[in-house]
Amino acid sequence: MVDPASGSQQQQQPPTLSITVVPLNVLDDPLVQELDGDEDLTGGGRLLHPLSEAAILEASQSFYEDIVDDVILGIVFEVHRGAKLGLTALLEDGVTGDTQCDFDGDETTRSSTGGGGEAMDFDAASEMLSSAAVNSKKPAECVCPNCQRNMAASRFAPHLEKCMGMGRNSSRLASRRIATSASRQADLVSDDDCDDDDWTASGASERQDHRIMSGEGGGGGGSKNKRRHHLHKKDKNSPRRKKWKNGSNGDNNHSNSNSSSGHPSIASSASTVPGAEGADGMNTGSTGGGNTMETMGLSERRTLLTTMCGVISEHTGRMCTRSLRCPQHTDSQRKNVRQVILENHTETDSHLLPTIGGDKDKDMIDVDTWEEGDSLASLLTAQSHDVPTPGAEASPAESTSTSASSTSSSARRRTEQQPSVTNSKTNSKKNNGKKFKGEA
Amino acid sequence: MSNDDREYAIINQRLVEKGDKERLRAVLREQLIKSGWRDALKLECRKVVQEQGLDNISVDEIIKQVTPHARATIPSDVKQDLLNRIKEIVQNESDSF
Repeated sequence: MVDPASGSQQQQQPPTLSITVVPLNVLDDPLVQELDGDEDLTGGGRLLHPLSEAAILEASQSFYEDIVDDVILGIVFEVHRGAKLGLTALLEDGVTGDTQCDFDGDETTRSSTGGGGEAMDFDAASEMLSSAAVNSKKPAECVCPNCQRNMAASRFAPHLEKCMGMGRNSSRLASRRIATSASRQADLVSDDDCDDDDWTASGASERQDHRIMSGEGGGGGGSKNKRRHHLHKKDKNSPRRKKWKNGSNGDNNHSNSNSSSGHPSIASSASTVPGAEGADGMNTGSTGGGNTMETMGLSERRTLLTTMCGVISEHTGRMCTRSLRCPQHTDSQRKNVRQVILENHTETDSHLLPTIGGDKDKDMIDVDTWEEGDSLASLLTAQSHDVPTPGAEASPAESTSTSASSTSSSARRRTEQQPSVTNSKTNSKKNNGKKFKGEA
Repeated sequence: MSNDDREYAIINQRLVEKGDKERLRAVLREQLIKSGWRDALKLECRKVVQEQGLDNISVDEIIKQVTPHARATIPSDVKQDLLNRIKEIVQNESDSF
């Protein structure tokens, strides 16, 4: 016990001191001795002598390394957790995606300020700030998808009830609309994206062809892979910018016409409301619903995905809105969803990577949502092309016709918005409209 | 050597007990965030994760790959500052034995 202490004391201290101290300590503190064994060897956790300069340096060096390692470990934990939970992209895109942030901030600012001048500011920091401010401000202002009026969020639900003539059972739809009103606004505001619609158009028609070609199977699980393969191969060659977003927008507008015409059964059966208004409401709702994820900026997605589970239910085709720890879905499911959604976004913005995830996701959503028919009902294309839905026949003829006509008109409106839509797209759209009119 | 270890252990315990270590850690973290080191390291980590694949990555693995680079890239002024603080504390510690 004394030996090592005295050994080092040869450097500085007279050995007598330590010899007196050590036994005292040991005698005084038998408990200490038991408790912290190592330290006790040098006298109950006390230094026996001032350290030499070198020793101090060395000690501080190792402390420094200790602390640095701690910090590194903390970061590594964070990243690891993020990666495993699929949250990395959610939480840390400010780090990597400067371009993303720019784009994203721009988008959200525009969408919420109604084309205000904030979008001019491209400084990264203020970008973040403004998009954050926008995020916090967003729920305060909602735009009615029906009458385009601005109103406070608290007034929105009551307003919807009146405006759309929906009853109590529409609350689900209403809440959906609340969520999507922002993105609709984005649609309205960002009409200057016309040039991007070229991309959309070609992409959408491409996709459409594929769907017609390979979607014959009625969207069973079997055809999914095949289709994915097709799309993947083709899309790799097209150098589309903002692909996922616009592509799916076009896709949506498109599939919306199909969905509403292919699914009057849902429109009329889901709401107990008289046909015309109800169906129209459904359509607007579904437009928004379909666009939700696609038109959302990255920050919006991020906030959404960091607050809710988000797993896309196979049954309803909707995202799970429970908390992140929702027991119904597994972590891996959540991870997948996040991966898919965020991958898409990063791909659209980086315009460098081949879009694998985008098509995959779209396909997955297609397949998953086909029963619901109101979000991304592209699968219905296949259905509506070949087989009339049983629901369509069963539903009252009036509502069918109204919904069909209203959607075909909306389809036309869409087409005007996208002047460069290719022929195949418009044709198929019109065909759909006609077809269902005829059916009705 | 064993002597050094013991001294180190003692001082370490003191620092932990007095909360110095925690404070130093907080200071360092803040400085590193300010200097952008943290973001860079995160990027690095993500790169490692991507390279290794999400499924066969472990914390240990990331640390192994990232630590040398991370240590090397700490800004020298931050390092010096922290070292000085530590030295001061250790000095006090050893003076007040």
